[in-house]
Amino acid sequence: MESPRHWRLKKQRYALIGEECPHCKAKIFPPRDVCPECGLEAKTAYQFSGKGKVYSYTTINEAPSGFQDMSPYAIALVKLEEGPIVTAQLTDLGGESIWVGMPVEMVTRKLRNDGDERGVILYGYKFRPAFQA
Amino acid sequence: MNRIDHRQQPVILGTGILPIGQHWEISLRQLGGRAVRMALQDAGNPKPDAIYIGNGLGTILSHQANLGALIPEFAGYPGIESCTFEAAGASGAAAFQAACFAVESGYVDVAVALGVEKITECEDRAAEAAMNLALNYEFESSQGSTVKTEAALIAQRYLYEWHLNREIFQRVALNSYQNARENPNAFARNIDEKTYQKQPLISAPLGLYDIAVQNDGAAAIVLTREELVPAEERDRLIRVSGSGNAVASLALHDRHDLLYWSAVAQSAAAALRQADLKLSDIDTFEIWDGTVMDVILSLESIGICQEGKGWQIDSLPLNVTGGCLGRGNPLGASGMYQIAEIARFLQTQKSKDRIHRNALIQAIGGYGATAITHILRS
Repeated sequence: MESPRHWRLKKQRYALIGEECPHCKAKIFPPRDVCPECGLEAKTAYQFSGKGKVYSYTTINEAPSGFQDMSPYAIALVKLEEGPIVTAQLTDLGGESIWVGMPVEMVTRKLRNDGDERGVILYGYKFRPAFQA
Repeated sequence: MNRIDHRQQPVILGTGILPIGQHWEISLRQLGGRAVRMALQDAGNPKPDAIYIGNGLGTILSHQANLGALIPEFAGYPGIESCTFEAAGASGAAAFQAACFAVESGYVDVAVALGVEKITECEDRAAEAAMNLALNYEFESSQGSTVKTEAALIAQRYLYEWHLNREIFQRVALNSYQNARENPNAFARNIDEKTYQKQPLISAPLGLYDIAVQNDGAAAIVLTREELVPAEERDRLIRVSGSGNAVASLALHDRHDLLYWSAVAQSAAAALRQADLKLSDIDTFEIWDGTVMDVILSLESIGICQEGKGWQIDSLPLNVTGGCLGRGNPLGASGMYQIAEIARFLQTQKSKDRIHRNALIQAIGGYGATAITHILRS
């Protein structure tokens, strides 16, 4: 189940923690050692609001292994309020149709199982429709 | 890099192409070995100094690493220099580029570039999972995304931005399928307008025939440099006059403009510059069509079509032997099929009317992440 990997990624997966570049103030997700905007060292943690809009979407009917239980499901590119785009599933749609520009918010959900090896479940971010004020 | 001396230029001596399909009766090593032997035979049996191998999935689907120590033996050349180049769908093109560098620099005199892939060994789901290795594992595939959904996400956004619908894909897809009809080594030769229109959607807006089918295959090319070919034989040569290799962010979401493929543009520009040719000098384009969307974005990013119009391909000499869609897609071998088939095409053209003399060939690894371009001249 690749424990070190999932342990290492927990801040990103559970709390959408990326970085703010100390040099050019670019918001970065996922975090990395070098800022993709200015090329200088990036290291300051930054928690994203989790709010964003659907940039593009599709439905997956033939799910890869570990994801079959959820099939079919929607995958989207979500453009976060702060700028970066993330790849994530859409959830809690309740029959609502998806559209480009649809406001969404991050929630924590079951991402996948380990293929019934030991029953371990992996959690992480998905996005659901956000109610507009 | 600019070429200093034409006598050093890599030239193609021979090609070996196995039919793309389900080669259940032979394994990865035999596929590769046979293509190498065919190419050497076609070249008049020169003694090879090295075999550079392009392969994307052997480590996972054939449970076999270090093909460099395996395939030369099965080709009948145990002990010669060999190793693997991996760049997902561009693996074959990467091995070809390595072979070009080796002969051009004088490091070796005769090099064989081999692209080989064995995909139909296992069930579809395992093959799909292997293909998905080309994505960013920690932030794309771990979310349940796949190679096909990445293409669909881009296609959806493209249709949205340009106010189009999925009917634009038909012309691009059918161009490849129709051109594959004349190609004896192609897998999908019988898809016509009627079949295409009845296809099921796999990941909207992309349908079954908008995505190239994974398959087994192997193709090989023998290279040397021009100065080693007797003067009286030089006229018939196909020359490799330019190559370029560029990358963009692996994950789609890390790119600034999702509808402009910077790696594709940069690698094509570098190859043209090296060949000292303009885009308008090219009369055959072999553009990667792992999905129809790849073709559209590549044509726009290279500058062959205007933005938003990459699907208007009417008069374009494009993917004349069927592309990945018509040919079938043996991932790490596809880049070698592209070059080997276009080399043969140019050779045939040369004996006829010389209309097609300059070809631009581009392979892509990942979803627009790695692009390797070669320019062939007859």
